[in-house]
Amino acid sequence: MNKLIFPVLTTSLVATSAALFLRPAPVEARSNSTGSFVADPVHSSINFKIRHAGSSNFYGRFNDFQGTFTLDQDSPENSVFNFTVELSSVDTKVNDRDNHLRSPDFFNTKLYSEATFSSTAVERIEDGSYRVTGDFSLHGVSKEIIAVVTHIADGTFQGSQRTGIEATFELKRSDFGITSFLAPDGGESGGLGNKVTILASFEGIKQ
Amino acid sequence: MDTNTLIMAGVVPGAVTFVVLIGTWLLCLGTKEIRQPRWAAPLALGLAYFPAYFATYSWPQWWSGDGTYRLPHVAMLLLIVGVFESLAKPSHRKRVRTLHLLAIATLAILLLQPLYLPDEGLRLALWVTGSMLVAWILSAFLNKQARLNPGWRIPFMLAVVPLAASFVLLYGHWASGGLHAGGLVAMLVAASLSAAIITKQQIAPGGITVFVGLLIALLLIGLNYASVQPIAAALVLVAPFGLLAGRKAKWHRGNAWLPILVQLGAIAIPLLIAFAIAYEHRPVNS
Repeated sequence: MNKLIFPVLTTSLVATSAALFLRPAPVEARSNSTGSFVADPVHSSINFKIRHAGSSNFYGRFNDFQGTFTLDQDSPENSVFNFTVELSSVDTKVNDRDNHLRSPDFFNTKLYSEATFSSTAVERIEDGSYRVTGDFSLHGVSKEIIAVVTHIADGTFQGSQRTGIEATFELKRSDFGITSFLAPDGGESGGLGNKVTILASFEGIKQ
Repeated sequence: MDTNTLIMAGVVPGAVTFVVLIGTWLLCLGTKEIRQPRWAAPLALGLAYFPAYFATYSWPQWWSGDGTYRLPHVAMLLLIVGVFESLAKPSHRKRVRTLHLLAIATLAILLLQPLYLPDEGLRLALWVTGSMLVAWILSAFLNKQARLNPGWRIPFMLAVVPLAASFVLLYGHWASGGLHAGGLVAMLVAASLSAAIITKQQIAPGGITVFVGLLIALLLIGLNYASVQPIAAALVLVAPFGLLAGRKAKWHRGNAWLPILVQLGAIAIPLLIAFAIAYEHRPVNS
């Protein structure tokens, strides 16, 4: 019996130490990411993707936008997402192209300066992933779209609690009256495709 | 730009103009007066604009909040006013001129109201007044020129004006407007071709009303919604006064083509300057 005590004690000590030091991190994400957030424009981005010349995917972005969201991971139906994008802030790295996008051929920003999104319903797809239904307004037209919103993680930065989400949705620009350089069949083979994919990433500052 | 768009915007307006002008003339061949009805020119030019519009835009809403989608309404207004003008007796000229100016004012308001009302009413008023002034001067001048020179000369020489406007609009970041102006070129070329057959074809006054109105409408949109250079637009509107060039020079006698070439040259000079200004500000790569 005395011969066993030492190995047993040692084993217990090692096992206890391992249990203490290797225990999984406390699950605090769910409670920290519940709340109201304002999108930090400096650490958020809104990009778009469109087919060009029927061959490649072209990416551009919008530099000026603002948004707020309320995220409730326990009861996602209580979540709300609202965003406004300044369309004249379109940035495709080429100033002349940006000016063309601001013209009546595309966004017509002198008349329609903003695109907006307001959610109307949120449902969970799986843990941390949500289907967000809402009204998207662009070019004087408002249509219902469905976005997939994914919660990335939580953290702190400069003394404030942060949470990250990413949203993706698709739309057809012809549905919003933007039909320049569209293929006759309204597909993807024209100078510019019809389908536009919005890829947004927001870092929310907890309020 | 796909082939269908180019055909709809460039060829079809010309075809419609030609068919309406020739068709109305043929209808009148059996009548006492073997001449084309005076309402034919405004009808032809007004109708011919629609294919150019639909080449770039889908069927418009009955009423759109976007002024650029009101061009079909403008074309219809100009067509109606142009027909009225063509049918009016000379004694009603004053009333007709008032109607014309009211149409231009309505046109400017239709196109620019979404941008400027309710916050910038004064700016809208200035654009409306300016449009009326330009239309009054330009239409009066071109109507007189067209009456003095019935036939193919005036539409032929005026065709270079919307051609330059097409580039001014295109380089001003409004490609659709450039196509519409291209349609105006086709319409005037077709009118000059039909005048080769109908020797006494007269596009004044109604046809001139439609042409001037559409040109002003396109430039108004380009200046206010897009990035058309104002000086380039002004030069496009000034260019038709090149028809005054070389009219009284005696050395023209004996050569019927010289006056035409001199006038074309005088029209082309401001248009080339307008093109150069627009080209300087063209999109480098879009």
